[in-house]
Amino acid sequence: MDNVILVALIVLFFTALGVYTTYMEYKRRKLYSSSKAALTTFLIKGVNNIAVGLALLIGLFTLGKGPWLLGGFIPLFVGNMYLIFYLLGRES
Amino acid sequence: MKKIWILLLIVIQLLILWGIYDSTHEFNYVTDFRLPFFFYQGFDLKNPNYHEPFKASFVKADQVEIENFVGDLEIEYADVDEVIFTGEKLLFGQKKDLDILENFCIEEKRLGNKAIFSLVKPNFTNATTGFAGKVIIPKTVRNLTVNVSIGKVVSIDGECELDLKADLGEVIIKQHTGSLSIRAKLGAVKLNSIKPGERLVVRAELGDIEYAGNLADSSEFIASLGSIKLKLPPSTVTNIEADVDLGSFDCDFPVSQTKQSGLGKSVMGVLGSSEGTPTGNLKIKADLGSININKAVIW
Repeated sequence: MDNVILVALIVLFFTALGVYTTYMEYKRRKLYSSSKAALTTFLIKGVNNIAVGLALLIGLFTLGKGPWLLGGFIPLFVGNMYLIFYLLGRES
Repeated sequence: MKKIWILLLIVIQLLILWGIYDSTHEFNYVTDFRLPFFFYQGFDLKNPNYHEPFKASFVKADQVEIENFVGDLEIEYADVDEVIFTGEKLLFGQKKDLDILENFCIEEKRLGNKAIFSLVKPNFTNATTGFAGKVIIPKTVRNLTVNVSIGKVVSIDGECELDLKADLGEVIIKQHTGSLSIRAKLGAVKLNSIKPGERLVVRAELGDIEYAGNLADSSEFIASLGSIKLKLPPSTVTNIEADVDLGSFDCDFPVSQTKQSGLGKSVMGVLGSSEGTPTGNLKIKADLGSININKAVIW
């Protein structure tokens, strides 16, 4: 049970860190270009990461199920977060 | 429409998190361990390229040594006069190497009252042979030494001094009576219903150690990366010397002296009721994992 709480805390920490750094990057980009252009960068980054993550996931899955799949899951997670951020930005 | 997309992406995000959890939690390095093809000359132990039934028997000896085997072994003890190998011979190689499978044999060497069995490995090719199956050991054998490079080892109902070394594979021992020495490099070690003699040594470099049974006069459990879980009879009273570097130390028994040092914990003193007299020495060391000592009445 302790391990589950620990893992949940680590995931929450990195998610919060990801949201914070993405937001800060968005703010920095907005200084030099329009907010639409800044958001487009996140779309590009998101699609890029998802493509890399998916390719790695498919490749690594040929070795079976195991921790090596993290190599594919993590870029996929990051890319997805970029896309969510992009859509949320457009929504507002 | 955008809201649906956001919702969909959040669901995917949760699925990815589940995937991360599922691919790593309770990952058994032995039962689920499929070696990447670029390691170990490209073979997966569970799927040999070729396999055929194999049976061989040898005259028994007082001491038996099984050396450098590749493949899952199940050791059984019976009232027989021969050491019997029955199972499958395996070939991890190409079709051109089938001759090696045809000429596969287990070599026997005799040194006094000791019989050493080893796999004859071809040295002119990259192909590897192995044996997977049962090894029936006569109950009269006093010392048994098993050395398996790759593969799981299971021993049930043994009554001898067992010295076991497994480089890459799980070790499972049930209902064993007699001294034990287990060294596992990558796999977990699971020992159940053990009545050791004078000596009990269990070392695991990467896997966990699970032990249920009595303690020997001198017992030693060392895990470099994994955890150590001991289930001991409630009446156990022994001298204890335990060290944990990063993990936790949980114990159902009263312990006389505990010292916290940084992240780690050291325990030195007597484990069990303070009224009893210690009957042996227990040394436990876990570098990264935790130590759990529980009371159990199961044998």
